[in-house]
Amino acid sequence: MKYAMLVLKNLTRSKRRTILTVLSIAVSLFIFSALVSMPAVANRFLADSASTTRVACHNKAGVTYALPEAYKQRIAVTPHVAAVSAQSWFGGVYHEISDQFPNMAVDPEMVGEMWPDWDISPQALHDFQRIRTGALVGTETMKKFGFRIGQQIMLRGTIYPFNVTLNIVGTLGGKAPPSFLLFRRDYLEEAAGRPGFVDVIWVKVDNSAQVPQVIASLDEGFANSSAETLTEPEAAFYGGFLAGYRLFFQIAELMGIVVVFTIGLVAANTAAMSIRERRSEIAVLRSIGFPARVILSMLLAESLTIALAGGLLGAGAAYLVLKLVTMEGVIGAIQMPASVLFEALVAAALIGLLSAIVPASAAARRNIVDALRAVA
Amino acid sequence: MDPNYVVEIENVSRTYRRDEFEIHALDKVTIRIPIAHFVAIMGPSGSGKTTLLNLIAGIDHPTAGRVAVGGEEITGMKERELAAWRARHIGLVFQFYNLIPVLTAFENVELPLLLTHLNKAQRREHVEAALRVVGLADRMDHYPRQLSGGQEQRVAIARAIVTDPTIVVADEPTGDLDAASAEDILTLLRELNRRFNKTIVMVTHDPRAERHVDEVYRLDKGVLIGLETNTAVSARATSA
Amino acid sequence: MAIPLKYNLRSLLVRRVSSAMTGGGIALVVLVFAIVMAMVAGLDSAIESGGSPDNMVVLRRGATTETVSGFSIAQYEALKYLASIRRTPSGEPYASPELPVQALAARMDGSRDNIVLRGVQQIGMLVHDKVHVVEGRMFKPGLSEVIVGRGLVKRYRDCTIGSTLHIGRGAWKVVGIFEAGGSSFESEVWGDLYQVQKDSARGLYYAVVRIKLAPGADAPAFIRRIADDPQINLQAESEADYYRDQTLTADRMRALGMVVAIIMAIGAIFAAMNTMYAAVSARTKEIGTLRALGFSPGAVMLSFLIESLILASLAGVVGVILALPVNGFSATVANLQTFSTMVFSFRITARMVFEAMLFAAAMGLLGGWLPARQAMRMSVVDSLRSH
Repeated sequence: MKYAMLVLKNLTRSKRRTILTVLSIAVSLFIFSALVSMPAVANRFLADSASTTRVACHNKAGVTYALPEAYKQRIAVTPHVAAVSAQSWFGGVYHEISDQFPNMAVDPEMVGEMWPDWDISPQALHDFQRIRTGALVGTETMKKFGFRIGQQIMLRGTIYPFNVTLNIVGTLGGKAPPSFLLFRRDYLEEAAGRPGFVDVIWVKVDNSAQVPQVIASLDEGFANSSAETLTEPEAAFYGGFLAGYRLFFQIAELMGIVVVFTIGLVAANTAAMSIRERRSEIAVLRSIGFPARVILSMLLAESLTIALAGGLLGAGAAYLVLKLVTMEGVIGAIQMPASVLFEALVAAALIGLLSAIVPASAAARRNIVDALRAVA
Repeated sequence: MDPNYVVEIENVSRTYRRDEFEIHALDKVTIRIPIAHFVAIMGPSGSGKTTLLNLIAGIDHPTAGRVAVGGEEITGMKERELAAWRARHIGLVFQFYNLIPVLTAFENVELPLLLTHLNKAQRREHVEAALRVVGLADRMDHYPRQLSGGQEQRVAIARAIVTDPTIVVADEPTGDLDAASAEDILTLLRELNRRFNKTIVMVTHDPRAERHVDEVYRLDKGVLIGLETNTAVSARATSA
Repeated sequence: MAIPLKYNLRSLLVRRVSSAMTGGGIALVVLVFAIVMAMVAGLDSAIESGGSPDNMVVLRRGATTETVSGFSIAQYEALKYLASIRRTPSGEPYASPELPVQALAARMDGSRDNIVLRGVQQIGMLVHDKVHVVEGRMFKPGLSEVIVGRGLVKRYRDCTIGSTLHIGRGAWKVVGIFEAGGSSFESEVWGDLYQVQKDSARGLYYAVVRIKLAPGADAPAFIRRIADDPQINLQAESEADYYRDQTLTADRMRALGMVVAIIMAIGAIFAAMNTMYAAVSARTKEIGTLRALGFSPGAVMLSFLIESLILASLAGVVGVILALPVNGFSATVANLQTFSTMVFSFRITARMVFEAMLFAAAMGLLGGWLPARQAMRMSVVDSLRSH
């Protein structure tokens, strides 16, 4: 620790170089943290947010194939089914197509029971059931467009040839996908002329252990009918939508690794340069009597300090920026998981150690006489 | 401006700051160097001799006073003008040779010619001639690291004369050489002066130099304290 | 005259490890840039290349994409015989009513995602003149037969000739494989329109009519007629315009890629700056000598800038070469507008190579600028004095 002073002084020797190195490491670890967070968040979302007792029952041929509304009654009487709520995707557009957020119509009576983890206030639930044009909106969408409770908004129909006018009565919080908007299915049905079909029937199972059994009895029960069903746990259902992002995630992870590698190279270069320049000084220290391993640890400490400073800076910046950014679709604001911060710091430490180890060992062990004689 | 004098330094002072200290390198110095003379500027460390040389070579500006070389006043010239002027009028020789390590001897000598309008063939002629004068024509394609100290300095001298400059300015040219090589270099410079009438201004510590030059200017603490012509110089040297 | 180039080239060589590492950094940034741009170009190409210059896309008014559109047969009948529409020699109009449906299909690994099952009539093969059955044969009308796009063949189960493909609510016999110039149609399954309508159980309706106009037809007039005629009351636009609006997926990718590339470039620029500063510092005496010999400050600055540029350009070339293998690599992505899976191939174009090189040069210039300026500004006397 008594050498800490020497290490610090060396860092301030060329402030410009130290700052540039810290900055370049920070930039790369910023990118790394941001990119690697995306798939990490997606995976975490599926693991955390999805409920273990909710399953989605949809047409086996695809969600767009729809199920007859009548299935609700049959499902409701299946053993271990605690609640049933039908949903139809509306897919309306608020302003621009690029602003789109997921919006769908659900059965109002069952909302509270089906999604207790979505933190819908009792007042909101009450109003949603009372007001036919009521809508519940996720926090992300509320913030993005500056909506307030009580506000009236209009969604342009894309699948359906009409628009809907809704009144926001409450928000979706907790584990709800923050971009969702829910309104009432009876309102949709009436505007659509009562076609009698739904996209998904959500089913709440009374006990998570019973889920496989319920899934089996539903799918077998509707097999060989005109609308065969495929029932999936909530995580798998949403996972299907995220599967389309698979390529993006793969590329993001690849880019993240390339970035770290690139900067590792550059940091190694800078470390080597700075050590090479101090060759004769190091030789003088050794001739005074400093053992090689002390010199080695000082040089490594220097490099590690720079790298970790860059790592903290970069990962910290990523954390802040990600809070402001959202990933549309099912996932809202991206919160950088702690695991990513950890990975970033480990990467930084590795960069710091590996980039300096070769030139530092060489400098520490070099023949003193040669080093003293060498002309800069 | 008097045509008999190739260098005219009039009441020149040079002061500069190092952090909070003001250093008076030169204080009201006046010197006139006759054309085609070989002169030495000598004095203890810190006497201002290198500063004086830098002013003559046009790589530094005086704080006060006037500097004229070859009849032209360089005191007020801007850097770009000075650079062009240096290329034409000054040949520089340094203590540590200052050859560019990644260029061969030939290419190093050619460097000042790149600032002229000569074409490639003409440049080649001049370079080969200069290298012949210093006796290193056979080492044209060697890199500086493949030459001895004395040989490097001779290449540097070739570079200094290749544009046929008005004056050759040498800063401690023998400072890094052993006795034999030093003697060779001094003889070579003397030769250049005698044979080609080159005015040479040399800053040096080397007492051996006194035998080869026409005049010695002595500086101490930024002030000119003496001027000795050759007879006096060689008289003192032999009697010592 | 300027400081000779060989001075810069040899100086780069002398500090080859340092140059290589900085160059490596720049090359990798160029690599990432090129890969992302190749993906964007591939996405654009897959979406756009399905179109033909004289084709029109007719949708329900207000529909943004085929898969959310729907209108009645009567509306189709009302437009079918419009004069602007090209006819076959036997008088049949080049008007193809279609119903593209998002249906789940199983991949080779068992996972399922949505692809497009498109119901078309035989005339569809004429209107989509870039689509050709290359193996097997076209399906016969009225039968549960399908042809599958080339992009599906090795990725999804049962997409070979003779297999039974379970998609939608039925079992379909695969009788042919078609290609469509690498466009997104190659990610689709095509079957008889009526069979697909029955399968979707949503009633007999059409989602889109694809039309080929007669040579010399007045397209704007056609579009107006489609919109204004109360019996038709639909929305028409050229296929080119339609696809131009379908770029959401590519746009997202491009935006992400550019952001990452630029930030990486900033990192690389810091690195280049570091290296160049070190070079200037190590060659202080040389710089002083050159200045003393008479090279102007501008010449010195230019020389260091060029050195940085040379390094960056070489690195750019390496980066592009490393990216080349990605060309033609085919992958799948979720089309964010149709919510179905789309197969596309990465594409490296000459223009992209040019842009990548420009990007590399920009990094070299920006990284070398400040150090080069410092080289220019050093006092000659101080430089000569340094060790």
